[in-house]
Amino acid sequence: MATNKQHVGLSADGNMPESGAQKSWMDQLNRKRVPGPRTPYHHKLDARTGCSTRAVHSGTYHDPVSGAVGTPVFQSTTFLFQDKTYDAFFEGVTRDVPIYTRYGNPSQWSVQEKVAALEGAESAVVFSSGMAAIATTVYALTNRGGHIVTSYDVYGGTYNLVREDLHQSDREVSFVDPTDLSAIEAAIQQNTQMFLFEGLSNPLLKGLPVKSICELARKHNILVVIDNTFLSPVASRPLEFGADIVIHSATKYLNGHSDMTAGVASGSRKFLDRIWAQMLRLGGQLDPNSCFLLERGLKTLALRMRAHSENATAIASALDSHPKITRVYHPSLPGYEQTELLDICKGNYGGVVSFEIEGGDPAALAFMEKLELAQVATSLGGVESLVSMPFNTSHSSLTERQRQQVGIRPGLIRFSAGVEDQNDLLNDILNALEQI
Amino acid sequence: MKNGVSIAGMSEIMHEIKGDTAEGIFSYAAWSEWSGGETLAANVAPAVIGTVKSSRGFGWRVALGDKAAVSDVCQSDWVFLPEELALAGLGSCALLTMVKGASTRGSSLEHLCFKVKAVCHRQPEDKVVTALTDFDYRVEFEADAAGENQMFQEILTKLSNHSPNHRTIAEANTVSLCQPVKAEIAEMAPVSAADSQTEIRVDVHWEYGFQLHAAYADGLRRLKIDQPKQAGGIDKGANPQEILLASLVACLTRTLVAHAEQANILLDGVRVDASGHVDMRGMLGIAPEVPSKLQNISLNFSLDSHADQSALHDLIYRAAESSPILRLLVEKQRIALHLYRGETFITEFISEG
Repeated sequence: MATNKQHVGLSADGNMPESGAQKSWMDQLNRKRVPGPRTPYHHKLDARTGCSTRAVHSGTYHDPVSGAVGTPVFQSTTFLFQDKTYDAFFEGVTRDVPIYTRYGNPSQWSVQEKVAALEGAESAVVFSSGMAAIATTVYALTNRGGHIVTSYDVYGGTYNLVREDLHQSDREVSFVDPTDLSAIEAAIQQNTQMFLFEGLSNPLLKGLPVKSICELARKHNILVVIDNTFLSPVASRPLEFGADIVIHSATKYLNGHSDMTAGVASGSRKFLDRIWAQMLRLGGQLDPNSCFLLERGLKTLALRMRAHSENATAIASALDSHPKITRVYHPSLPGYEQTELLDICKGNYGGVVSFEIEGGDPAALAFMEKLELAQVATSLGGVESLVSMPFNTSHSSLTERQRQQVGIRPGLIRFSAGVEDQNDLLNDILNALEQI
Repeated sequence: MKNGVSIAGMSEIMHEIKGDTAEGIFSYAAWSEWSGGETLAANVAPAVIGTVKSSRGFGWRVALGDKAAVSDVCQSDWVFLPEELALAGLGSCALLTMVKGASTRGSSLEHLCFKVKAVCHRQPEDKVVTALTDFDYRVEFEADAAGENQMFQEILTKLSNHSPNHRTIAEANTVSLCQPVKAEIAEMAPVSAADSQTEIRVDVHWEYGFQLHAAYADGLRRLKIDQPKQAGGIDKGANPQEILLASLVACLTRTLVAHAEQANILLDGVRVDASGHVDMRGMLGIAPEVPSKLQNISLNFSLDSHADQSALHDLIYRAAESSPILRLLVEKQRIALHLYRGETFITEFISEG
């Protein structure tokens, strides 16, 4: 039986500071921030490769013992101690050495590497949900006494966090229209530390002027955190425009199969190290089996996003002139106001399309009952089409006046187009409309 | 982790600053406010650590007179003197530098305390403080066997060359008045030989990591000190540069109110803002030509009064010229350092500009 000493183990790419009596001052320490964590067995692709290639190959763990083509599931909570492990404790590089699965696990590193490669990031951290990713990021990158500017129509889970919890840890929050740059600028205070916005809003698909927001933030030393769940890195990579952190509810498009819950944050190693350290204290890491599912789902992300987007665009086009539809919300339609998004996304706007049915909420409820393919359920981004109404789900806690303020009008439906055949989806929707 | 300090974190920040000088500019600010009564409020404003803002919610009550206030019931009743804050700022900066030096060399500290003393000069009649001089650090440490005495002597020497607040008082500085008057203060009138001299003292104790506390002679008042979490701390208290700037704004507010009273100028309120930055390349030893000290120290004043503007401007000049903390920053100071392992004397030397 192998002893710990004989065990080869996994060595991450992380370098050591090599502190000791021979170092006369801090300028002689060796460690620089390195991308990752990853081991030499995790597939690192050239950044010039295409999105589909990175989705398939980046981060795959090539097992040196078995030669397995896919990443094995490292279903283990703990890892054998070696000299390198003890050094990691002393020198403070525990993120780069497998020690304990809350700290890091090669399964997590595989999927993190894949997301980082897709986003153009140095590093990523996976979480047990999108909300774990958001909460951990907000706490990690702000201080007591800090101030956060976010959107008045931000996702309900995020809204509950910033409205109900942050003041309890002495952080202030201001809510603004995220498409109004002057309103964002007016909300900046001396203690403003973070802009927390969504790349494409839920459910009205308002596009964020991400470049302008990042420029404004830079002038004031404010960090920009973008929840890009609705767009995915196939459509938009906010880090390229100056955002500091990109967050996803990986439950949606990144995994894409409605069979697991996860979140991910990606960005520079500097900020991700802080987010990782906060995650250690709050918990919320992703277990290895879910990492396997997420990594498998991500391999087809580019293919799926193309199908989602084409279906949503076709639905938007078909409904825009339908007599029983009073309004359609989709970036592909003429007159879409947030033109910066059109330049960024180049035709891929994700799979959500929202529309208002003549006859208000009763007619919309009747319409959903008549659908045969699309499932009436919350969430989005799965291979199957899902449909729901904001007034009785995501925005049900708002008053009528608040719903009007954020633009949720009677009869509004959010349709998450899956990857089914386009004609089948269109027929399903048109048939249902005919029956109401 | 060594001594609660992430060696990797220190190393990464150092290399990041080496690669991008903007990451090495740590900007700090403090402000004070008085609107009547016997005390003023001295507060810390948000800092910018490299390119990232850090919100800082720390503040103290400071006496307008010459007496601190102590309560064993309520910490919010504690009242400090500007000179006490200044000594805490100096001792804590030196101590933190020593913790970083020992951690870099792989030595585990068991105990570290800086006992900081200075001579406080006062006008004989009205007890107004005019200057702080003759600084003295008694450094007491205990460490594991890896931390040889020779190593700590070398760290103490490094500290005297690199600790930002130590360098700030050891060297001469120019302080800028920006609003509403513009002036550069690079020298002060000599202190009167007739001033009385008393000793002022604070003991700065290391707790763990970058967390420290300053303890005063009354045995009750304590001041928590830490680095921002963006700089490796956990936000338990203000950092040494912030405390030094807070002592400066508190001192200037105190002298403004005193001079206004003497000149029969009615003040309804006073606010003084101070800012400065440390270029961490100096402290980290990355660039020998870069000063380690607090740089670009600048001041803004806002006086709420119906008095005419020229009288108020004159008041600001007079307050600046007579502020003992401003003098501390402008003039070179002499600092004696004594190193003890437990009670055993190891070495001593004088640090001068």
